[in-house]
Amino acid sequence: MQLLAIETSSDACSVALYQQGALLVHEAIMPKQHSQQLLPMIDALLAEGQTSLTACDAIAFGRGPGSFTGVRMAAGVAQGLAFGVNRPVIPISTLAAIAWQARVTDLQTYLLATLDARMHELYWAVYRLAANGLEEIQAESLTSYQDLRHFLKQAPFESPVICGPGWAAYAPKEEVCWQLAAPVLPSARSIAELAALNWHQRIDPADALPRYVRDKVAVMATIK
Amino acid sequence: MLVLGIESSCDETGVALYENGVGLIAHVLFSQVATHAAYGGVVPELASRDHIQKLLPLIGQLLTQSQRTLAEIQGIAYTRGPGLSGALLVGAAFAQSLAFARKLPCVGIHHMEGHLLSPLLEQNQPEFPFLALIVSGGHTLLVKVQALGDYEVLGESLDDAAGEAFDKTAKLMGLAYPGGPLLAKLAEQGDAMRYALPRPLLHRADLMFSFSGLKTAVAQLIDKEDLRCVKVQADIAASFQAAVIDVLVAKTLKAVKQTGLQQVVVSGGVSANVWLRTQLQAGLTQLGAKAFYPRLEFCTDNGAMIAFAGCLRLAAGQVSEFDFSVKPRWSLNELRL
Repeated sequence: MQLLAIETSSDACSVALYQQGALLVHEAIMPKQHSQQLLPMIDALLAEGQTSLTACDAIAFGRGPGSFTGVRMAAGVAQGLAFGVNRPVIPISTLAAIAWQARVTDLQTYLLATLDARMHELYWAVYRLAANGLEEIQAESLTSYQDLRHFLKQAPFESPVICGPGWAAYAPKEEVCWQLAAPVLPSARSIAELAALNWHQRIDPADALPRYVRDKVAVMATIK
Repeated sequence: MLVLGIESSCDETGVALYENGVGLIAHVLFSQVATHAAYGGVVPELASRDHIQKLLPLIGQLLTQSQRTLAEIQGIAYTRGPGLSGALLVGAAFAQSLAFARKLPCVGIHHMEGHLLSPLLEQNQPEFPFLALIVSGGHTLLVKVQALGDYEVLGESLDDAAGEAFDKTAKLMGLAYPGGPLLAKLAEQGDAMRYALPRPLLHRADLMFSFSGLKTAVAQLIDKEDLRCVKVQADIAASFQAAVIDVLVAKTLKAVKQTGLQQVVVSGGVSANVWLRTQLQAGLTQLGAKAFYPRLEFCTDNGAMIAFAGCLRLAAGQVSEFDFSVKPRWSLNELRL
């Protein structure tokens, strides 16, 4: 199985090539440069892997949540590439990608993935390691830090490992009672690995759409 | 060369196939007007979200309708700017990636170049050089067109675009969104002489426009008059429309005299305005000049004009490889072939 994975939901831009279990990854932090660098990065990655796009069985992309423009870019590129070579697409959650990057071998451990959603809110979800990568325990949500803390207090599981940059953006410095993983950004590496584990989730390119989670983006005009 | 054109600069997703030597093969358009109506204007984030959902299904429709296949497409063109950055990026990312996947030449097109070349899609077409008046919700431009890629902006609006003035004034009058065409319809029954509204910059020697003051003048008028009276509404609409059109026509005629160019291309959403067409025709005839319009459906944003401009540029050997950055602000003066 050969997969190409794209992740552009943050200031980081990364692409990964999964070839029969081996992984090649190119990544860089490049705010506002994604649109110029992404395709050249894919070109260089395929060259290094001595392969071509047509040899890929599917295209995976980080479908959000994250920067609206970033996840739309990943979706647009995934659609264009996949439609062009007549291959399916595998959309992967950026929160799942973060949890996957911070995974621990203990199957009983819960992973709380967080991203800064700005406007005093976080995107977050809870996962646990499973056969197909991750099992979603709590669906992707958008809340304030206070509401997330409230959820954790009432949650039917022990304090999770907290990963992703969202938590640190809002948690007070003195909060030491939590197990924190390094606050890494989503990477195409984990998008590729999760896509390989979720091969059955491939879809038609036209259905490869972003998942924004924040859906209220405009206020209706008041009708006089 | 069969070229796929993609337009996504504002609130319409348009795709088309153009083949040189053959002409326009097919085009499909989806307008987001209904999405934005509830907000009283285009919401950029919602526009972008809609483009990414509609683009690929529209291309599927385009291929089915034209009985062509993806494998037959030999080049790809997309709108690179000006426009809403998020909206532009959807078309740009998709177009460049599709071109990358199929190893096809790809080119980013200036949206206004698409508009000013659009009458060349018709039977009755001008020859280079010509003058172009582009009037839409986002732009008011007078351009000297020497040849493909050789443009000189002679005049533009210092503030609101002509179509924007129509829409904003319609909103002041309580008309539904987008109000410009409704206001023009209302004006048909009105007395354009009833209210004396200013003709901004009419007597200035240059070819610049300004429409924001006119909107303010209407706002003051609305405060004084009883808008519940249909006659008053129609007369305000007619007086406003006459003021805008007078300036557009006068400046266009001035440009004809200054440049000596006898062919005038008129494009953009406002170019569908009946009063503009009538007045301009009268003025141009006196000067021995002639107007050229795209068909009505191509006056507004569409994929056909992008496929066409793209085909010309690709045929001339221009390609922009791999880079799908967009130009939300981009002057026609910067263009080259």
